[in-house]
Parts: sequence; structure tokens; C-alpha cells
Amino acid sequence: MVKYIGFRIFQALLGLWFIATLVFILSRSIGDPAEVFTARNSGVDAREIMAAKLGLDRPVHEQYLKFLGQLVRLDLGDSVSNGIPVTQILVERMPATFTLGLVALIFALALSLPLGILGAVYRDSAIDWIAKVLAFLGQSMPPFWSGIMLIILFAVVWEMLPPAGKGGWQSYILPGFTLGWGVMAGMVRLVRSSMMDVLDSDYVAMARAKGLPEAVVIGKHALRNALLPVLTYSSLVLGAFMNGSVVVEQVFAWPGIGTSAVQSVVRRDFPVIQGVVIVFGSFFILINLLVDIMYAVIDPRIKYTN
Amino acid sequence: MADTSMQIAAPASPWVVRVRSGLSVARRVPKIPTAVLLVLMIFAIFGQWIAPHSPVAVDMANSFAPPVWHEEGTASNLLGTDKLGRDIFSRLIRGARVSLSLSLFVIALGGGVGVAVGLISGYAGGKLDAVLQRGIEVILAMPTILVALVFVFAVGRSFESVILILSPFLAARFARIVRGETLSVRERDFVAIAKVIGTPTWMILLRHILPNVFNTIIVLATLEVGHLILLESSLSFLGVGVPPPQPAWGLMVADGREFLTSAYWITLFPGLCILAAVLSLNLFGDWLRDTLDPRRRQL
Repeated sequence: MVKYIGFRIFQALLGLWFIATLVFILSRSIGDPAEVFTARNSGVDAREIMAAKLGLDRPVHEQYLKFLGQLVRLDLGDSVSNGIPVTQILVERMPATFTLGLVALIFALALSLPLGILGAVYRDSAIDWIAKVLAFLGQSMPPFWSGIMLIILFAVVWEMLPPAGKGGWQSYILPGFTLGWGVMAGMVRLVRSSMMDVLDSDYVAMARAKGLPEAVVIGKHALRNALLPVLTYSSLVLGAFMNGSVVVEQVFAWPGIGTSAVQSVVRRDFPVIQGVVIVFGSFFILINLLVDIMYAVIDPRIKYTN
Repeated sequence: MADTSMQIAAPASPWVVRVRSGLSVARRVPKIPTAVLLVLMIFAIFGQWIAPHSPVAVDMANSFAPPVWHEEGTASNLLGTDKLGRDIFSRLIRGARVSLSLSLFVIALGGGVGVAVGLISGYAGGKLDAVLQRGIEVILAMPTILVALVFVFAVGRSFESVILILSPFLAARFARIVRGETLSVRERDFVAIAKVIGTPTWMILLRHILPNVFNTIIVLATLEVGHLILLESSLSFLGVGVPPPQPAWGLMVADGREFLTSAYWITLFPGLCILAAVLSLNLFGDWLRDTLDPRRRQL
């Protein structure tokens, strides 16, 4: 197992290196890098300073090593639109994105657990159908559009919740729900199918044969075992949230990392986009790594031999 | 079941059986999703003869016209017009072509590469398989929308650049699943026999393995078109998708955002189109999977 974990860490580092290299190649292959890294209307001076700073007169492999060296020291350069270090921008905006993801996860779990469990216990009942419809809608609705429709209903028509921005706890409801709904679909299916597998198992039949009340059978014997795959899935969902947060933050003017990525595309602020991609990519890879390690430690049935 | 009645009745000739089973499958096609998909396909192919107006014709005098059921609405603009007076209905019809053709290009390009990689990786095994799998895992571990954002930023906004950046992600998904299927088909007797009689590897892949993973590919392709429409519309919404004045559905939603309270129809209808298309594809794909490929219920 140690060998397996070591291999996975190596693989994760490989992934990080790949993303960094991709960003480097993109930044160097689109015209004059000095122009890419400076503001759109900056003069010749600014471009020359940037060229010197990036070491553009040096051979490409030296530029590349310097770029990797800066990355290792968490130096992502400065924003070209306001001169603030990219690392600082990202650290400031990280909490907003993270709490939004957490709220979305809570929404997704709070909806999918009861719906999935009840759907498995009362198969083909009304509640099973409601769960299916909600899941299919969540899977098929573009989050940017469902977000806008929720704003119209809850903020404009009924004036119950704030339409955008980050404020009190009320401001978390609409964006959190929008983000969570998309992943809820997969979760309901997973809870339902894993609960059905467990309900058909021998130990549940045994518990029933002993004459235990149905609530105890479901709540104690079945649920605990059905929850394992759901927990694993929840951690993977955090990755899906990063993708979704770019869109959802944009709809709700949420001051997170996703918004700064889109803004920097509009402003042609390459250092910031580069930083966001590297940070999100690393986070994504780190989560996948942790889940795999968790699996290896928790589940003794999985053997990792080459 | 058709099978039991077959056993009792006199054996029918093969083509009769085939037609009968074909008809019984056709009767079970999910009707509403199939109808929605057919309408969208007709819009995509014959749109220019159906649409009442040009999707890009600007008519400032007629901007923000409401849909026909409002008092000021006219039958000329069934679903109203946007801020430039362009007809929403005509733009939706053209949008169907943009979304579907883009998705089909990505399926053809990314799916084709993914199937080839999956077949080779699963059949070859060993070091080549290990290297290809690591590459696929790296691609699958990248946040799609962000990478697409950077890519389009770098190479410029065009129909082609969206296809180019979405294709590798699709190829990775196809390759992973086709590889898994290939692994099991590879162990079957007919492959071993083909090998013994000296069939060249490419022919084993094309004639013996590909036909056996074909159902999986069809199901996956159907479900992925829906996924691609969502991705494409998200990119369009963020302003890095198909460039204007081409009416992509995601872009139309974004166009209407400023006028939510005064002209809801600009945002509402393109979103409903995306929802209808993706929902129908998901339902149709689910049905296809249950019919063609019942082992992969979790796909």
C-alpha cells in the first residue's frame, strides 16, 4: 500500500507539472509574451520592462526553469490591471469560493440523502418519482440559467432573498442551491442504488428476521453501509464545484476565484488567469489524491499490486 | 415477451423475427424525448427555411417586442425580440444548429480519438496501456471550463477553438470506458482464435473488438451530446464560446441578463431550449442504455 500511495503522489506531481507546462506553453505561444503579460494599451516601456522581467532574451528552457522555480515559491507574478500580486488576490478570494462550495455540498446532501433513501425504501412511489424528476432537472439544467430563474422568482418577484453579492446568510441560499442542484442528481442516484443494494443484502434480511422494527433496520443496519460510497462521492464533488463555481459566481456576482477568472479574461489579465488555473488544477489533483489514499486506507478489499 | 411466443409458434424466418423485434423496440421508444430531439434536428438542418426572420437581422425600431401572448405582441415575432430587435424564435432555431453541429463535431473528433485510444490501450496492455491511462487521468483531473477559458483566451474566440478544446476532454472519457470494455472482450475465445490463425492486430481491433463495444459507444455518445451542449452553453454564457453574432443559446441567456425584469423572454426561452435538449438527450440515452447495454446501468 505504501508503494501505491507513493505512486499516486508521484502521479499527482506529474499532473501538476503538466498543468504548469501547459500554461507556460500557452503563454509563450500566443504572440509576444511581453504583450500578453502587460495591459492592453501599455506603452513600449512597460513591454520592455516585462520582457526583461520574464527573461525573454534568455533561451526558452531557461525561461521555463525560471517559471517553474517561481511556481515552487508560490510566486505567480503581479496582476497587470492593478499590480497586486496574484497570490494575494487568490488568497483573498479563496474563502468566498470555499464557503460557497461548502454550502452547496450541504444543500446537495440535505436533498439527496432523504430523497435517495426514501426512493430506495418505497420504490416507484410518489417520492421516488419526485426524486427522479428533481435529479433529471438538476442534471439537464444549465446552472447559469437556473440561477437566473431563481433570482427572478425569489429576489425580483417575491423579494425574499438578495439577488446577488455576498452578505448575510440569506445571500448564500440562492448560489448555494444553484451550485448544489447540479451535483445532487448524481448523488440521489448513488444513494438510491447503494441503499437498494444494501436492502437486498443478507444481513438486512437477518435483521428483519430477528423482528427488529423497520426504522432500526433501515436507520442502523442499512444506512451506515450505504453511506460509504456517498462520502467518497461527496469529496469528488468538490472538484465539480470548482468547475461550476466559475459560472455560478458570475451569475450571482460572488466575490470568489471564479469571478476573478472571468473578469481577468475580459481585462486580458493573463497572470491572474494563469494563477487561477494553476490553483484550481492543483486543488482538483489534490482532492483526487486524497480520495484515492483514503480508499486505500479504509477499504481492505482493494489490493494494489502491479 | 416476444421470445416465449416465438417458442410456441412455428419458427419464423429470420427476417420476420428481425422486423418483429425491431417493431417492438420502436414501440418502446420514449415518445416525448424522441419528438423533442426530432424537432431540434429539423430546426438544425432546415432552420433557414423554417425561421420567419434572419437570426442576425437587426431592427432597432422593433427592439424588446414581447411574445405573441402579450397585448403588444405580434405574430411576426412569436417569442419577442431582443435589444437589437432580432427575432428570438429565429435565433433559437439557428442556435439549435450551432449547439448540435458543435457537439457532433466534438463527438466525431474527440470520440473518434477516444475510441481508438481506448481500443489500443485495452488491447495492448502493458507499458503502453499504463502510459495512456496516466495521460487520460491527467486530462480528467483538469477543470474543463477553466482550461477552456484560458485556451480560448489564448487562441481567440471561434467555433473551431471551442471544438478543439472540448475534444480532448471527451476523448479521455471515451477512452476510459472503451478501454474497460476492450479488456473484457479481449479475453473472449473468438479473439484468441483470430490471433491463432494470424489475423493482423488492426483487423482484430476493427472486426472483432469494435463491433462488441459499439453499443457502449452509441450510448455514451448520446449522453455526452447532452453534456457537451451544457458545456458549450456555459462557455458561450461566459463569453468564450461561439462568437457573436452567431446565436448560441448560452450567449442569448447572457444577452438578456440586464433586462430580466423588463424583458424576461430574452433569457427564458434559450434556457428552456437548453433544458429541453439536454433533458431529452439524457432520457433518450438512458433508454438506449437500458435497451442496448443493460450491464452499464451506472454510466
